Amino acid sequence: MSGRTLLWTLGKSGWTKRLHEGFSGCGKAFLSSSSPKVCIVGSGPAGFYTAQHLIKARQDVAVDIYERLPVPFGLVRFGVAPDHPEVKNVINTFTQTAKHSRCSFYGNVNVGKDVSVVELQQAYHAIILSYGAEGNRSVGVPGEDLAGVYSAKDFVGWYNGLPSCQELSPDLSCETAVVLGQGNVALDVARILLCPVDVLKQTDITQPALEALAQSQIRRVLIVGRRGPMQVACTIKELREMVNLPDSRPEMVAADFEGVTEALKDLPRPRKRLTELMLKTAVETPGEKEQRRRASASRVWGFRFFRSPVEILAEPGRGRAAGIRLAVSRLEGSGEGARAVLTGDVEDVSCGLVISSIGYKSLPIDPTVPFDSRRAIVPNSNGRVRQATGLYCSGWLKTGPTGVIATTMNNSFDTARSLLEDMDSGTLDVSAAKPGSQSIGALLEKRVGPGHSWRPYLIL
Amino acid sequence: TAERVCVCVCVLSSDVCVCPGSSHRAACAAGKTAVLRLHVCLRLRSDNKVTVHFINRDGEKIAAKGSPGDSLLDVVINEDLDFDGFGACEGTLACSTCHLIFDDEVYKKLGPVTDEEMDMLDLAYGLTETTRGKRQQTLKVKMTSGTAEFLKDSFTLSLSSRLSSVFLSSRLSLVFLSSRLSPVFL
Repeated sequence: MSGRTLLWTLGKSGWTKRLHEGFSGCGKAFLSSSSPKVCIVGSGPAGFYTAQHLIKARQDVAVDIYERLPVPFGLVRFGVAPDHPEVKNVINTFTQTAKHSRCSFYGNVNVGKDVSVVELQQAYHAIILSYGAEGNRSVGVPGEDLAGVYSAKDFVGWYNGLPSCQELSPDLSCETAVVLGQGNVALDVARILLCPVDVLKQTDITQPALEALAQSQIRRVLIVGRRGPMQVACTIKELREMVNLPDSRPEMVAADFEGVTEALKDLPRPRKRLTELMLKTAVETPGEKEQRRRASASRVWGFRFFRSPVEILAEPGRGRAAGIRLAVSRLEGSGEGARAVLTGDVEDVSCGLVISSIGYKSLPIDPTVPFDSRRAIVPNSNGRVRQATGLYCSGWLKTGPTGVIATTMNNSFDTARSLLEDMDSGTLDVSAAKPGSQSIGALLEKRVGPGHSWRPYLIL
Repeated sequence: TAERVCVCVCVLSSDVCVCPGSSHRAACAAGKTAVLRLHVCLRLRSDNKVTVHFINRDGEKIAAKGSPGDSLLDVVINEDLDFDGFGACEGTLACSTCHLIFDDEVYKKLGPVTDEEMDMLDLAYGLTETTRGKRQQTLKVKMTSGTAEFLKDSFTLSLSSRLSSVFLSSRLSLVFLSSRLSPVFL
């Protein structure tokens, strides 16, 4: 551990110290069977932040976190780009929570398959669904199933070591890659594709991904969006990383930025700074030093605006992607609410790799839980699931699959507060004793078999 | 740990002069007749803390002490302050959970903001014009009041930064020291 991390762990007090009463590393606190028992489904930031808030707020609440994978932390482990290790620092505070005497983590439990939500409700006073968004929105165009076309979710899972994505073996022998979507995940993908291997070597990217990227022939990445520069969903930190990426130069279409300078002054600060940086990168002639740097760069990246995918084109006779047909659109309206309207023109771009990064998507896991399939979230009000008692949700399942860890933190605290209110007011009856993990454990043993390792996961 | 600092107090017929250490003794006394010369060895207690006032989102004012060189995030952690949901990235400028809103006066005195800090602040809830990332603000020990001006010529700055206040009265022949310093007369 670095000196700084050690200092952090030793000096850390305040709100996490208050959580750690009873931290002994072994045996959990013996709680009377009448203490409120809460079950959290999903162990990403939403699950852990909700757990933290509950444990701190009431000394009698016990929280069990169930996770489908054998390991916890969700997208913090499998979604954050390998060159952003600081973002993963939250794992430390989550680990402390999992070690708390009133918190237990159970991995390898598939809620909806191994155990139903109804069964969980019989064992716990409240269930909080925070299992995030494991699906992805499909582009919905012909050719989406061709070899060489991947969802960003799978591509990111591949280079981050998500078990289900380790066989992806993407073919990186083409010159141009097209990424559909202009959010932070799209920029992460573009950056990992173009990042010098020496830099990637220092990260915790998987070995197979590192080797594949070392052999990659990809020299050009286009990041395509239906709307314009002022509608990009990415944030400035990620854009700045692209602008500063070693051995890469930006290449954009100046005409796409018509009218942007005039619109700048009315934008709120975050959008204004982001747009300014994009504009500067796209249209301004850089200083001498930067000009030289760009001239010697071996890789190219750029946003392409007002383009909507209509078909992924195959190599004749082979089932793999060789290009993408993009329809030209124009904007109706302005700002966040602007809509892309097709003009009728199309443009074909040759490429051998297409990565669709147009959004993650939550999936329903249990028929008894209300689910809004249009918005792909569990319908709720401040985290209280509509038309259900004792059912709550937090994180992306509650508000949709956008937001950084800090957003999820606030979101989770809100849900925890709703649950605490309901417990305090009596809306949620916590007086009757509930068996919690004892009954669920017995059920899982019987159903899945004693060999199945659902047991409390020891976090090393 | 305590630190020993030697000063030389020369009381002259018309004036009092306080100089650091023995090296100045000869130069100072040359050309002047000293009525009284004292070598004073000061033992400084190193609890030179600085008080920081935090105001949380409920409007509550919380005072805490930090050491020079600490960041404000260090103060919150070391002093066990009751704030919720901060420090997600553990002070590595990768989130916006710790940010402070300063008075205009104070904000102006802070060091320059980097692009990276601004990028993170753009994501912060409750952003204002005078918001800064907490991790970035280190405490500087400041001399309080007019005694700084008076002493600046006699002492090197590094010395005076250790003393909270040293009063020198032209009428008296001794140096009055604040309660944090315990003079040892040789």
